[in-house]
Amino acid sequence: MSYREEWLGNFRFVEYEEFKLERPSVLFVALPDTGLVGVISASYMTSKLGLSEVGGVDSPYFPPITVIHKGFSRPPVRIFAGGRVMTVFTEVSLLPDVQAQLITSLLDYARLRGVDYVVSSTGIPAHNRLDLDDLRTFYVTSVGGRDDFVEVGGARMLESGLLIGPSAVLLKEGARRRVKVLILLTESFLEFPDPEAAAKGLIVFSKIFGVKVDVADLIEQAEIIKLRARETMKQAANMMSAMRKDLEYGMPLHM
Amino acid sequence: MSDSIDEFFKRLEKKLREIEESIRKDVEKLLSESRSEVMGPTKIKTLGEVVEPLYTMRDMGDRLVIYVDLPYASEGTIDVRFEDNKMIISAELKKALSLNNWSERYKGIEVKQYKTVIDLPFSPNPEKTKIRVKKGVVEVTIFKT
Repeated sequence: MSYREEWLGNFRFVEYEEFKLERPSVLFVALPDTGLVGVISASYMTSKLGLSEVGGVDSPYFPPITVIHKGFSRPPVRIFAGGRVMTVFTEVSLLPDVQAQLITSLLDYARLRGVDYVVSSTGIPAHNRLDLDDLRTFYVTSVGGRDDFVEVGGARMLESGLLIGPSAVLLKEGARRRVKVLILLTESFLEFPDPEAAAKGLIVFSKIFGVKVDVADLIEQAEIIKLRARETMKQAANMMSAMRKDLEYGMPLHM
Repeated sequence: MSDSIDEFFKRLEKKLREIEESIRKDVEKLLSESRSEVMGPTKIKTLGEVVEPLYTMRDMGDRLVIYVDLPYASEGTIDVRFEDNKMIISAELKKALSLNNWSERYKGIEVKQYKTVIDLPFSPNPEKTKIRVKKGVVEVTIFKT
């Protein structure tokens, strides 16, 4: 067992295990956001692909929290890796400015690690989600415009709209740092956990990157996952309200 | 010349004192707010036989639409009632869930029911209320007039 730590900005990145990602590598980032789509996806994919916990991120700007896993103390933001995929996620709702700083440091970490793509599969609130059965997944990249590589997965380009929260920072900072960022946005509930949307996002992700993630169990366990995720969703909803996440429902005046 | 320099430093000192005072007041205000948040009465949610569902409210102009998320609820047991300005909603789970399966810290705790009371901005007319259930979500539409 090795131990390595490095400060990037205000965040301490710790690695407990040496690991090397196969190419082309993908860093899948998820913070609590719309319908907890990202966190549910990251957590499910981590289990399904059998990724190992290789590190974590801590910061004096996080609440004083430690995650206990199999008797070990872990930082609130956890890093898992295996094959071509690395997942970085947390269930803890962080303050908006801390989220923004964390995302920026994560992009620096991705660059240092030589990651090829940084991906976030999150939700985009749909007015009529209750009546939607065939959920659409949109995409936007840090490069911008249409991307044939992404459209292979069945996602369509988000022509216009507003993004608020971690994905907005990923896009903007990804473009500045010349990191390839892909944001997948699947129609979802805003304030209710949405495993169905998570499953749809993962199907698209699998097709794009050729990483097979069978979502059958996610769909089967959707109701129990929703019930379990209630408190995490409540915390995230408070933070989303502070970020005026409801503005994502709106349309910009100038398009 | 030296008078004007003295005058300049006096004005500068006065301005700095004003800024210092303003910062001190702001910091005291923030500290007192955070103290009241920490020391004030706290509501700690614990898991028991009955859990509170997530809900959200949308004002659509002529009507209020309330969505209540009731995953794993038995559809036939969903009960929505109104009392003055309150909406009371409850539902039984399909079967009791032992939380011990999730974490041994919850040993002996079984969740059996959802229940919550939602404050409404007005007293609804039950005849002008529509309820539908889909995907484990209850949609309650209350028309304002």
